[in-house]
Amino acid sequence: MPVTKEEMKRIGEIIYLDLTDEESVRFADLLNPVLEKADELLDGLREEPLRHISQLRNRLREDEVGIPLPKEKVLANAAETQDGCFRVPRILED
Amino acid sequence: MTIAGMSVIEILEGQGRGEFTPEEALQAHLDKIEGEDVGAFLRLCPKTSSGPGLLQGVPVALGDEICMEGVETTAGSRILTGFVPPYQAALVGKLQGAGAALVGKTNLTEFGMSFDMDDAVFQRTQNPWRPGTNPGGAAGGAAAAVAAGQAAAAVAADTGGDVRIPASFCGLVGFVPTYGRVSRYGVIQHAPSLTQVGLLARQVGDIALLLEVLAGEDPQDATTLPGTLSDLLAQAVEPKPLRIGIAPDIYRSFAGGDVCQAAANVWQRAAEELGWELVEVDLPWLELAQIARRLIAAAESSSTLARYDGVRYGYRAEDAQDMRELFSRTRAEGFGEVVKGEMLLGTYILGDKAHYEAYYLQALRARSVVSKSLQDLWGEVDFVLTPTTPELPGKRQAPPEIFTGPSNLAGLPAISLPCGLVDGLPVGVQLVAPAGEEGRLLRAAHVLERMIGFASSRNGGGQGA
Amino acid sequence: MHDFEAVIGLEIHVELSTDSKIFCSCPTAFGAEVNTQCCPICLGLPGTLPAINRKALEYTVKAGLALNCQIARHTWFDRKNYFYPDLPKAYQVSQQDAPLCFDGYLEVPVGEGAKRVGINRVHLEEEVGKSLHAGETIIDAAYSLLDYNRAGIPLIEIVTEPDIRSAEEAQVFLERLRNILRYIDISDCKMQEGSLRCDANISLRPKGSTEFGTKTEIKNLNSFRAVRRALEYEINRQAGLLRDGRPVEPETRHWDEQKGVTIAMRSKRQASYYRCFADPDLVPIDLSDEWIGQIEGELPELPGARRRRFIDEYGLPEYDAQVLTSSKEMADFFEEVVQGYNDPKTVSNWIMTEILRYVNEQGEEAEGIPLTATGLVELLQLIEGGVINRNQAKEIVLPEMVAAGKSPRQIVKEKGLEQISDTSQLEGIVASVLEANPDVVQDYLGGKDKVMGFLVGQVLKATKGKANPRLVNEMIREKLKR
Ligand SMILES: [Mg+2]
Ligand SMILES: [Zn+2]
Repeated sequence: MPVTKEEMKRIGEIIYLDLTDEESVRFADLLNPVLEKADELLDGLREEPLRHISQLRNRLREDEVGIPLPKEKVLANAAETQDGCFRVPRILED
Repeated sequence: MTIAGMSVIEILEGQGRGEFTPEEALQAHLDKIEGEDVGAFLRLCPKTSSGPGLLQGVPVALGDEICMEGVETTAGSRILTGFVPPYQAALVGKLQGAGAALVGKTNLTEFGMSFDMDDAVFQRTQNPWRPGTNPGGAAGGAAAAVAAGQAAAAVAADTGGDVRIPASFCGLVGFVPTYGRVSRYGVIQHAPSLTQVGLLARQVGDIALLLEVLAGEDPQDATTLPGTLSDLLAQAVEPKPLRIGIAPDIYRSFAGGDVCQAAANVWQRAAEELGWELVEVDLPWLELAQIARRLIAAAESSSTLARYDGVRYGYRAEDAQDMRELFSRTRAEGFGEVVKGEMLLGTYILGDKAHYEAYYLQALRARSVVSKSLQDLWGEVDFVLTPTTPELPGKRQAPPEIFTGPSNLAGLPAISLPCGLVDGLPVGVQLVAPAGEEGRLLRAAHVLERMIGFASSRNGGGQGA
Repeated sequence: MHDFEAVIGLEIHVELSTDSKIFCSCPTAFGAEVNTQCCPICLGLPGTLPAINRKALEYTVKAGLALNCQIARHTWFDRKNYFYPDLPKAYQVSQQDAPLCFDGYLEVPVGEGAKRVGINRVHLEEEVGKSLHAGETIIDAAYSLLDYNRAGIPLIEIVTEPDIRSAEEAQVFLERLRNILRYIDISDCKMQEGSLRCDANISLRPKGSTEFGTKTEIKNLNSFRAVRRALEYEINRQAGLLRDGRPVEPETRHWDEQKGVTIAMRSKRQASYYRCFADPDLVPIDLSDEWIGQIEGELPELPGARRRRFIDEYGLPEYDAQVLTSSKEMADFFEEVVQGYNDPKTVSNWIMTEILRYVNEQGEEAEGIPLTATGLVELLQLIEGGVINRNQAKEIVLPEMVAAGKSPRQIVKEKGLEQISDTSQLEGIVASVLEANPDVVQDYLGGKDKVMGFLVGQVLKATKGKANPRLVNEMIREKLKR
């Protein structure tokens, strides 16, 4: 089942990439052959999924406190700051 | 011989004989950048050698995905414009600790997410072998810099062939170690489970030296392997003849005739001149690996690149009225087409239970299939030999990463060696080795390199600039 | 409510009291200046990688063991992906698919008996930053400010089975849970500071039914009282809807503490499916029996076991044992005092009446016992030795000990409270009291024992309460030998 324009738009919204109609069509056209190929090649595989490529286990650090970044450096790359904080426009629950 | 264009080892030897100083070595490479603009560097940050060490005075270029403290780092993306890391990649510290001189940050496709250097966002990079042609990607800038004699070696991330493909196009040696051999801390990635820190140089010997400096466990990267590597080329040669897996079938399916011929020449000569044993093997899963790698990379990208939202650093859309608008416009304006497409693909395949199972989970199963199949192959052969990439720059038939991607999928070391010219442009041959066998791989590549006799620079190769 | 039964499940987030954050070495102290406990890792800067704090992992296992859970032998971390400005990487590292602890229970008292509330899972994840809103509410605010000090503090999520049947049960469960987490010392569990937070899922069904009704999720429950009030409100609201034949909407509701109501929150734009997958930056964890055994060995005696021991070892009534073990501080305090003053029941009485009064005055977020064990031992010894009487101890000395932190002996000295236990000092006073009350003396001599109290009282009055009443009693009895 190919990805529709509407579906593409909805997918975009999830990751805050709002797509125009034209873009939705273009990206759907880009994805569909990939998914088609995936359908064809991946179907029926039964092996255990390989979740971790690393064979290592239990890499842990001890609970030791280090020196945090100076506040000026924390904020140095921010587009907008106020009162020692990162400032953003209002947050609408949506 | 001029300094710019020398291999790492030649520079070390030249300095050792007192022929030039580290400062002169760096200056020679900077002059070359000035004199021949191939668009390799996004920015220069020349730092002279910090002292004695294995790489004292060797000018090294870094892909712009590698964070250097206090130097703007963009990973080739508009969304990171203006980002100046207050920290640096673990590997930068190691290079500096070994006395290397860091030249600058090289161009790459956005976050390294395309193997076609024409997709790069900020500037075009030329293949120094023939201006106007593409050097291959994603680490096209790093390869162009070394090929043009603007750095003796380069370090860049490889997620599917990003270092080996441009190495093949630019007549260089491109190498990826076993997954976890070199710390990824401070290397901007899009698909961490596939990313290995790759190396570019003129000779296998240079690669060995760089790897010895960079390899080792890093508490900042949980996936780094324990132990260090040393004297990789000094160890004894293999007592028995090496068994090389060749897969003649894949050439019919994927590769262009001339590229095939170049690779075939290598194995025929290896059999005749070196006495290596040729074993025909089957790689029936190349397309499966290609699609699985792409889906996994897309899924991880949709998550790993979600942090670029305009709040804490990087590009931010102007005058957004609320947070929703800030997120959406920052990301719409900051990311390029390729990255958007891959993130959408990744979001789609993780986006609900059915898609997760049909695509993402199946891709992880395919990853098992490929890993196991390669694991089984090591019972029969010591290495697998393929062309590095199926076609010449600009001519697309099969996906360019069809031969390089499987080693990323399985976390294996691999090397691309220049093996000849097709239409006057270099092509490479790739050797893939079992996990943890970088030493054997480099020693075999070293032998093969001498047999092939491909001159390591354009000048040496007669392709006068 | 007679016709409906409530079905409640809780989801509790608890900040662990490690020194450093879960994936970096930044400190975790509460109340630091904004954005001063951050580094490239917890800010999610590009290319940085996480490294797991061993203690955070072990604390989670501790919580699981204390809640009778199974411990996973193989586990890993997932990325839970969603966008919010307080989430630096736009994913939370969590454990969707492989929780460290699962299938446990916590026993809570219900009426005369007890019941088990199932624990579905206890998993480890990372805390998010804080947004400070410039306005009354998040919606009125013209802009928001972000502080990432909190981002990356280790957090455990405890999810119960839907086994809770009333608002009261929910509150009792939470109190029990907090008690245990404090016992094992993995969190300070301060709801005010947000180090313990609770969301509740609630649905109603006809009594006797085994099917589930449509549930709502209630957020912003910032105190035990809020949990109870919000659930009571929501039970009534849902019952009202159902009685009227109207549907309960499956929605998230916000508890408004001031108005005492739950309000529907606007539905989330983002899919509630979080696109979880294993975080490739972290390697899996294998837990051996030895490791789990070692962590188990570090567990202190848990409240239930301690309660039973208090009954057996100190001969305390069930009720006393229950109250004393309801917090680790109090149980520790009791045992320390008994070490110095070996009369468990007297010590228990003092703690349960006098000391608890001071603890309760501090409210829900009690900081602990407001005096030292040695202080109480000394006070009890002063009473026993006849230096002061019980009333003086309760009304004058103890308040001063709590307020000024002074030792009882010092207070007694400063206030001149020593009892007069010297017969030579009392001789004259006793004589003059007897002389002044000939009628009463007559009554006593005639056999009326109870007038003795009056005579002793007169002596105490004359000495401003300092006379040792036992001694005075003896002296009068001696003088008026019948
Ligand atoms: Mg949670
Ligand atoms: Zn930090």
